Amino acid sequence: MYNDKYLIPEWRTPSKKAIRTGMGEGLVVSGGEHEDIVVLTADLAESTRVREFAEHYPERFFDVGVAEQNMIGVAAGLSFSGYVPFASSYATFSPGRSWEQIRVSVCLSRANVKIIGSHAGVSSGKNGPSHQGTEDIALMRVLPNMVVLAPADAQQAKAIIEAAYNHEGPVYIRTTRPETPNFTKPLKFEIGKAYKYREGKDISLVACGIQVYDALIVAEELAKEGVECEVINVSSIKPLDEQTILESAKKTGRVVTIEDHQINGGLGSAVAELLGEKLPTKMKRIGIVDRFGLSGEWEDVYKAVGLDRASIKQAVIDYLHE
Amino acid sequence: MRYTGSMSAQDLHKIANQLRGDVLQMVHAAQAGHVAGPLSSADLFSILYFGGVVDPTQDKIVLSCGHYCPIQYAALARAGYFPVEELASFMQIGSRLPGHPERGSVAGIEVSSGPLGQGVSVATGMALAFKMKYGEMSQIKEPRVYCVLSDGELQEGQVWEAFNFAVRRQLDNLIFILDRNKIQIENYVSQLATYGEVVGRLEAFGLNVLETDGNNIDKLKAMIEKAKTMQSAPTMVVANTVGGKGVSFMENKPAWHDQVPTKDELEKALKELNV
Repeated sequence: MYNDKYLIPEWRTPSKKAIRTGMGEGLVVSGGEHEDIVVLTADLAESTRVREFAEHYPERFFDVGVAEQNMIGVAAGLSFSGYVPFASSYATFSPGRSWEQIRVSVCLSRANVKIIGSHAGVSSGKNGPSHQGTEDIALMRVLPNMVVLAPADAQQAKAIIEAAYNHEGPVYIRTTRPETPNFTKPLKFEIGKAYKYREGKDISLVACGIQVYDALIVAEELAKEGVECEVINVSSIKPLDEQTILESAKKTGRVVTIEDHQINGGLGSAVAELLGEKLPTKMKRIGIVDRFGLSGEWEDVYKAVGLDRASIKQAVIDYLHE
Repeated sequence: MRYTGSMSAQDLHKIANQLRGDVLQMVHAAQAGHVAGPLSSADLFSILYFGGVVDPTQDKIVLSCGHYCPIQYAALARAGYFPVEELASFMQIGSRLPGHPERGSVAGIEVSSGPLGQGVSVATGMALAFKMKYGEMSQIKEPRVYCVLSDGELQEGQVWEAFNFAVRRQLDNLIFILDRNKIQIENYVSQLATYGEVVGRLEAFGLNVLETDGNNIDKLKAMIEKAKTMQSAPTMVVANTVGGKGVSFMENKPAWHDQVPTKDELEKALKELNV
């Protein structure tokens, strides 16, 4: 029922590691293999976890200072000369503040630039809503030529760097701050593929980021109540693996999306657009419901906005009884 | 006609006026596009593409003020990058000459631009890449990036972010040329967000600043040559120009920023330009 091709055997009791940390490890690995990888940041090397790359390859690391718009333009210029830049900041600042530079200097130009948005979602916690990137998927998904990736754990984040490097063109990679379960096997990451972690017949839980693990646990709990959930990790939000989602929706007839992002414009919207056009299915979007986050320990913030595991489980049950 | 060989100031002046005529015909045919900036910078584009100061085999020319693109399209066509007849397709469906530059639409368009300030950062990244590839050797042997920007564009904050970085990284292979025609779409530059002063501000940011008459071929060419010898920091050539230069009734009038000439105005202008 659980797909052991993707999940580590001890996935129920995993170690924890932040997705941002996995991403940083991936940069060091891929940076060692590919000398054309360069990394930029806007005064956030430590907290976005590109510091380790900077220490390994100082000649290929550039801190542009607190200037996200210029960071993206410089990255585009470097790419036009054959480098493969990864530009890293908080998601609220880049792609938040640098959106128009990404639109024209990167996407319109088909620049081979990779953008890392860290501290995405309200899970970034204490710094409060100005620093919680809850619109980044929407901002990036709408841009032509852009690939949008949201890894579910540190292991996937590590593998995503190599996949982003191998993809010719703009890529957005969403990372998060807290230490969260590291539960997937070290596999090559495939852009455009959704990963089915659990087979079920009653309802499809479609999630991205750290909500994928929550979906697995909620599925485990609901199984005890006789509800068999299918759990799908949509770490590639654009391009979307339409076939996997459609097959699952056809089988279960019920779809719930779960994400730490505004329900408007994010994963839930992407799935709703797909189903609306190709297989109209009643669905429920769990996420940030048209509001800002708030300051606090991230687990407390999750409870406040309804993204803790208990709230997710209750929302799924409510939806099943609608 | 194609231009080859060594150009005198008189030749370059003649070419500049031909480029001005090309621009006016393009804008008239498209019934859209910008006039004042392309005309004020025609002498600069004549020097960049025909004056022998830029090495087209290795240097890059970046147009950051993308609305100036008809002058760059005209210069590229006259320099043989694509057929001159194609200029008539400016802004039309299927044309390789869109209303604002798109990287790679034709050879020589290095950067997508239009939203002001963006090309300045991209040019800075290109110069940084050259520094990485060619090492920290003297900029005299290294490829250079020439970036053209406008004085209204200096109101964008991104430009100053880029200057900070270019100065801190000592990108002396990066030469900015400011087409300072003192007008922008709504008004005179000095009447809007700033008093229009630039040299002191640019120097305060650490750029090498060279100021000259940007509509004087000899002076502007000499200043760009001098910029190539400057070291340790990027250089800004402040080219003081006249908006709409070369056509008496268009000169120094903000209305001509993006006004389309009528048929009569076009004929009168071409006569004044002697093309």
